[in-house]
Amino acid sequence: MSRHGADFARPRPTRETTPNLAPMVDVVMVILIFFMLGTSFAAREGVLSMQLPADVGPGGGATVTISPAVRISLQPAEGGAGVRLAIEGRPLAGHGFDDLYRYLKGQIDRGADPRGRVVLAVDPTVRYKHVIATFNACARAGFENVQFALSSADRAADVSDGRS
Amino acid sequence: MAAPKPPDATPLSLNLAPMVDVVMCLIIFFMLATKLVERENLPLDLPAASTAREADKRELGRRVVINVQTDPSAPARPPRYVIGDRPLGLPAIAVRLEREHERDAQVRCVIRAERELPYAYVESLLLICARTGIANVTFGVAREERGERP
Repeated sequence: MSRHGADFARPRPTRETTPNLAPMVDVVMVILIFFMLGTSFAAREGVLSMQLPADVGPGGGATVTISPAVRISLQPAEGGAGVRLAIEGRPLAGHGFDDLYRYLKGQIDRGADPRGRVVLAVDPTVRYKHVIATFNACARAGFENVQFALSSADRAADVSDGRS
Repeated sequence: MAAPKPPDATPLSLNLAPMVDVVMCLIIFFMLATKLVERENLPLDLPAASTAREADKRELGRRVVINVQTDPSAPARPPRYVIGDRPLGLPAIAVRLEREHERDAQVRCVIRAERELPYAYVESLLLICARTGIANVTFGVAREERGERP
């Protein structure tokens, strides 16, 4: 009699095995939804950086004469929804940020220093998106040093009173 | 003559319970960790800028992220300034920035403001940065390509 004779003598009952995949599918779906929602928040954000001049602040030093390469002013347009752009006090020929970009690019092409200071003087009631669009036009044209002319007074209170 | 008997079938049962436990732990961990990382950025309607660089958090270094958020139920009211998950007034923000600047002179102020807000609310923050000596200022924007016209 062979060694396994006893096994042949007593066959065990066979059992059909099927792994239960339902809990795993549940978990994977939860993970998928979680990452889909999480990714949509983080994907498209970027940054625009600038340097505030170091000669301001508490007890600041001597008065410094600022001679910007370009000075751009932003005023609210009639009706308040848009913005009027002016360069060196003269209204910009054209009506959009693409025109501003073309003007600034022309300055670069004519030899303006891209590291020269571009100063934005912004009316407090101008929409923030227009300020960023102006900043963006400067960066697109190649100017690397965009700064803001700041009023020493806090003007937010005036604006909040006047908001519609 | 009897037919040969089939080989002995080994009973198999795939126990998924431990794996489900582990995966649930991972999900909870990632949910908590993600909240810690993202908490500084509130979901805002940011202005768009095609030249914006990708927001690399390691490149930004030590920073204070200030969210300027309109109350959707009262858009005519002044916005609220939020650092982390705490709404703060401008004097409290000035104190916080001064403390951060004393700790690290290279600290960066990241301003995230909603696109339709008047510039004055952002200018207030720039003024505080200038007064506290923080020179590194960064604007959080949306990186989408679309034309903006005045």
